[in-house]
Formats: sequence, C-alpha cells, structure tokens
Amino acid sequence: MKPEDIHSAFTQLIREHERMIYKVCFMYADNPTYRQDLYQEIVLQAWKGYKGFRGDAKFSTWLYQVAINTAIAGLRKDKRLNITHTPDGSLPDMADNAANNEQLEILYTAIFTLNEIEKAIVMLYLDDKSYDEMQEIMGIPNGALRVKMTRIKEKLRQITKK
Amino acid sequence: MELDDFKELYNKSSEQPRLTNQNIKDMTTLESQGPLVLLQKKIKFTLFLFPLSIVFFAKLFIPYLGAGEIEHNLTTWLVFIILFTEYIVAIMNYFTIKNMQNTSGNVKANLLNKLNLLKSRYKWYFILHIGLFLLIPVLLELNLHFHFDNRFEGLGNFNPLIRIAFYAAIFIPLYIFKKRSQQHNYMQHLNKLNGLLAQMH
Repeated sequence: MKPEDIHSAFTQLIREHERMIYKVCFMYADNPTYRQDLYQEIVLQAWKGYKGFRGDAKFSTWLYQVAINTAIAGLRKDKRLNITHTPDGSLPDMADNAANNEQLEILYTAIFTLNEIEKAIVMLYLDDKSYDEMQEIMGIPNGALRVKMTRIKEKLRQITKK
Repeated sequence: MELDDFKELYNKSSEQPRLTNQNIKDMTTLESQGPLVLLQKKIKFTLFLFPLSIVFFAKLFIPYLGAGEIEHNLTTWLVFIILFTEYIVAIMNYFTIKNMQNTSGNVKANLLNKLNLLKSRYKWYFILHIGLFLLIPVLLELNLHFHFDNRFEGLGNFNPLIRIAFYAAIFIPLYIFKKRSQQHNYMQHLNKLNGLLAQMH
C-alpha cells in the first residue's frame, strides 16, 4: 500500500469513528479548549500507532485503547496545539449539545465525580460495548468488570439522587 | 435515575452532524504536546552534550598525547567517568520516555508497561550512581598504590579511616541529593500510575 493510500484509509477510519473520540474527550477533558487539544492528540497517537495495527482486533477496539491510554496520560494544559479549524473557523464541540440537556448535565456531573478508570468503564457501558469488548479494551477480567459496573451504578444512583 | 436510562440520551448526544471538516491529515503532521514528548526533547538535547565534551577533551589533551600525561591524569579520568555515567543515564532516560509513549495495548497492560519501565529506570539509575560513587574512592585508593597521578598522593598522608570518612562525607550527601531529586521527579509519576492501577481492582 502506498503511503498516500495508508493516509487516506486512516483518515476515513477516523471520520467513521470521530464520535467515539469525542466521547472520550468529553469524558476526560474539563473544558472545550482542552477537549480540542485532546482530540488532536488522540488522532496523532492513533496515526503513530496505525502502522502497527494488524487488524487482530476491531479498529474501534484498538482506537478506544489508544484514546483512553492517551487521555489517561494527559496533556500539558499550558501548551496549546495549532488547532485545525473547520472552514468557517469554528470548532465542533459536544459541550453545547450536552449543556442544553438537563438530564445529560446531571449524568455528566455524576460521572465527573468518578475516578479515571471508572469513567472509562461507564463510557464503554454507555456505548453499548459488551463485557468481552470492555475486557479487551481495559484489560480487566469480565467478572471484575461486572462487579465494578454494579458498584458504579450504585454510586451514580446515589449521586443523582442528591 | 438509573444509568441505563441515560444510554439512549447519551448516544443521541453524539449524533451531531458529521464533522468531516476537521482536517485529520493536518492533525497527523502536528507535533505531540504530551508531557512525555516534551521531556524527550529535553533529554535529546543533553545527548549532544557528551559527544561535545569528548571533542572538548580531545582538543584539550591532544597536545599531551604520547607524553604520558593523559593516562597519568586522574582528574581527567574521573571527569570522563562521571560524564560517561551521566550519558548512559541520559540514553536510558531517552529510551524509557520513548517506550512510555506507546499508547497501544489494553489500558491495564499499558499502565503496567509504563510502571515497569519507570521502576526499571529508577533502579538502574541508582545502581549506576552507587557504582560511580564507589569507583571514585577505589580509583583514588589505587592511585596511592600505583602512583598514576602524584597530585592525589597527598591523600596517603591521612589515616585510612579518615580517608574513608572523607569519601563518605562527600559521596553520601551526593547520593542523598540524587535520591531526593529523583524522588521529586519520578515518584509523582510512579504514584499516579500506581493509583490508576489500584483503581482497576
């Protein structure tokens, strides 16, 4: 495969999975600026690792691994990336949609109180990933994930009750 | 409200118009701003210092070549050994940081890999420095017997116990200083990784 073809194939795959990347960014970044930086960092890390992706796992599983690993490692907040703007100069953001929805706000407020690993598990759960897929992404055994999920649900129930 | 009730709402929230205007191709050409990449750049800079110091040493000592001056100059060898050790540490740091940037693999394996890399780097750092701090007194003591460099032979006038106390007074504080600075730089990362792994249980 020519390098241009690899690039095109990668771009296409990222476009198909961009919502998934946004979900990770929204879960781990606390403001729109940081969220946009994180998005770009995830794309960059995915591109770096793409040549090593052999297709043993689904692309979405692999991308989730890269995205969560990147999000957990964090970015330097004082360093700004050159933002790639859309042609109209604005940057897409999920925050506005979420902010308009009271219920989602409650959900996110509750989720933001969870720790980094719990956030990842909730995100995968909300994304309808099976426990086997969650195990593949997180590396936590299926049984332990179920136990954790039960605890997280209870925790969120308590928080949203308040 | 149950978490499951949010599922539909959550998935709908990301069903916004396609964001195809994001220039993904451009993003892949950007430089990463992750903390590890920035650290790697700093280390890369120090990697150039050792070859430069070799050039400096060569320039300084070439006039004495063949006159038996270099091999009889203990200070030169001590400085060279210290620089060489620090260079090995810098190379070690460079590869540790490089390997830590890997974002593939499941989250737990990735965290464990990072933790092991840091622990191994931390361990080897001290092994190298303990070796260095032991080697310097050994060289100084050998000098008293084999007379490489007569400028250090004045040490022989002192009682061996006083000499040992002298070496200890220099190298123990140095070791403590190194350990504290390393703890300051690395412990926060080790603690963060350990904390994340603990969250998995």
